[in-house]
Amino acid sequence: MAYLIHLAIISSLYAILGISLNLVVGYAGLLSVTHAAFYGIGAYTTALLTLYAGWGFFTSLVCGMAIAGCAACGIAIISGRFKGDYYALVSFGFNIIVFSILLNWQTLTRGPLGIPGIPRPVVLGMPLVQNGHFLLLALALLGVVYMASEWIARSPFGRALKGIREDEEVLRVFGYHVATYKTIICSISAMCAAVAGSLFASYISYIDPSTFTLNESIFILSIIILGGLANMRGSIVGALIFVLLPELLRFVGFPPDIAAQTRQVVYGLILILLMMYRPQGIMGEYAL
Amino acid sequence: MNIKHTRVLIVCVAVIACVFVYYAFVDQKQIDNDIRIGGAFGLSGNCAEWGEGEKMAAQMAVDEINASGGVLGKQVRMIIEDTQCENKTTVNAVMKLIHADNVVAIIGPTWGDAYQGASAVFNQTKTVGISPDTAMEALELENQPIDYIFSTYAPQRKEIDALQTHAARMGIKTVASVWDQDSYSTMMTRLFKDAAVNHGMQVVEEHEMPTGNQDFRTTIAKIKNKNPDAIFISFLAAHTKASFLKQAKDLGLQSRILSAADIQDESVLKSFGALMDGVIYTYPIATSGQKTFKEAYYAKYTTEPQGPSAVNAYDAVRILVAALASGAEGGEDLRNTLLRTRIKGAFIEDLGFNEKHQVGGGTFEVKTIRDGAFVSLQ
Repeated sequence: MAYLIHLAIISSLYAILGISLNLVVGYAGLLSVTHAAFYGIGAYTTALLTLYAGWGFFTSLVCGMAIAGCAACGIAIISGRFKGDYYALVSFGFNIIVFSILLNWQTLTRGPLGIPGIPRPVVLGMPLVQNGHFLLLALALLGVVYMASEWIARSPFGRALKGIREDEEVLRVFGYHVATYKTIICSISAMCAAVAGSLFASYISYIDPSTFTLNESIFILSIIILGGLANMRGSIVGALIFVLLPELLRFVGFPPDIAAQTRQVVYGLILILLMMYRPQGIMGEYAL
Repeated sequence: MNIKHTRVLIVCVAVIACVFVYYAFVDQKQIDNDIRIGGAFGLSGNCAEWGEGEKMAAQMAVDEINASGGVLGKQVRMIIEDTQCENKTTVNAVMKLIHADNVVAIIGPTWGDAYQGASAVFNQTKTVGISPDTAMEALELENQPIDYIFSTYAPQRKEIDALQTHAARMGIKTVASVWDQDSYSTMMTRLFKDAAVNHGMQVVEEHEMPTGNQDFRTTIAKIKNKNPDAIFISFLAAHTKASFLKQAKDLGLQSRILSAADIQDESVLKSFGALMDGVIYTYPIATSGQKTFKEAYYAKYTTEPQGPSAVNAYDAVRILVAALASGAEGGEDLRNTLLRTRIKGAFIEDLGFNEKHQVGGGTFEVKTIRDGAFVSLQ
């Protein structure tokens, strides 16, 4: 049971990341490959503030959200000039910048040594030491992120985002300030990613820069492409598949000498097959 | 969401739930007569060249133990999981081994950063984890609890002290450091720098390289300009060590090269032998156990031990089984028994854990690589 609870927590974190990225990629049509950077900002903010400043989890979470939101705002202002593949490249660059800062600003982040001993959150005076209790917190935050994202998606703001995705010029002609819309949605998305980062740091209790690489951003992007773009439930399904499928393959009796490699080959094949038969993702309403 | 989507979702969730429920609730209730231990090794990813060797050596130890009758009449079964050398996947692997496979203890994980990720799980679940290659100093520096965490790898401070004592005797006064941006190499270099003053040495140049970097020519040119007496290198990947040594030779670098014990890697020597000539490093004094291990490994797998920590994984299994053989059943009992257990090790003759949960015995000797062989300088 403890193993299932652990996987449920990890799935919840990735569902939050998927939902938040879907706002930018699925609704606004901006191919962002930088989500791990905001995830890392949230994780490091929580780690540093709880460990060294003695702040509580929720205060540090809000602080992480604010920093990630501001960073995203700055990036969106710069990258607002770019579209399509060029936008992806700019976002890619930002991920590398954040990763380099986490790795090289050693007086603050301890660089490759990472930060161990991050405390668990305390809710109503009760530290969430039990994973079951932590799962409730993770699900609660997932619920908040899900509902907020659905609300945004269904609001006039969300419809304008879809309009930007379909034809930016038309929106401009109708008097929408497209750059502002993009900046706002990028900031909201980054703030939600920071929530996942804070949860990750306090759950695993150790973070190092290797968790927040470009590969992680691609992994999160894969979750929403497989689950379905512009569909929040699709992000949850994508997260479940990406987290649970490799774990499921651990139970398949491959020959011990090649088990690890075979699992990864099978995992890759399943993803290829899924994309062949569902190129728009399992629940997607829009294909990149 | 339309009906088709709903069906797809329900089927996916149902299949996944059934498999997990089976393994979480049914499979673990199966009573068998084996003693289950876990093996969490990096079998894919950037530590795979260490992890594969550890897995093979650990399996060899398990096979030897079973061939000689097992433990208390039971066979030992090692359930192996791939950590992919990542923090998150390591935690997944360890959680699966502890909660779904019900192992009594775990050998691994490979590499310290992954190990730190899993260390909280070991302590929370009171499961003993013996890593074949972790620097316990990294945990010690942060005052992290080490209750259930052990390492059979060389104690880093002791190793650095032996190396610097020898370097001082050779008249080395100035040293440049070049290392990978990973936790192990960063820790080694930090220990080297901190202790250098005690041996009358000064670190005059420091170059931290991105992990996986293969082009050291600019760095070597800068070091050459400073003309230090020696260069201390710490790279985890074999090809990185080879690239640095090759480029240093190509650019005519005259300084001596100092390294930690990880350079003694049979598989690297076989691939890059000539390049490694002249590197000075420290290693526990050769024992008959090291030779026997190497021969047995070759006889079983017809290859040299892969990675520098294969022998440590072999010892990790043997000391764990020795503790289990004395009646320890797991958790706190196993931890306490392990602290009292001593065996004749392959890496170190008198193998046991000290209060820092590192291997306590053994003396380091200074070695070099000459004509494709690891030779002692003392």
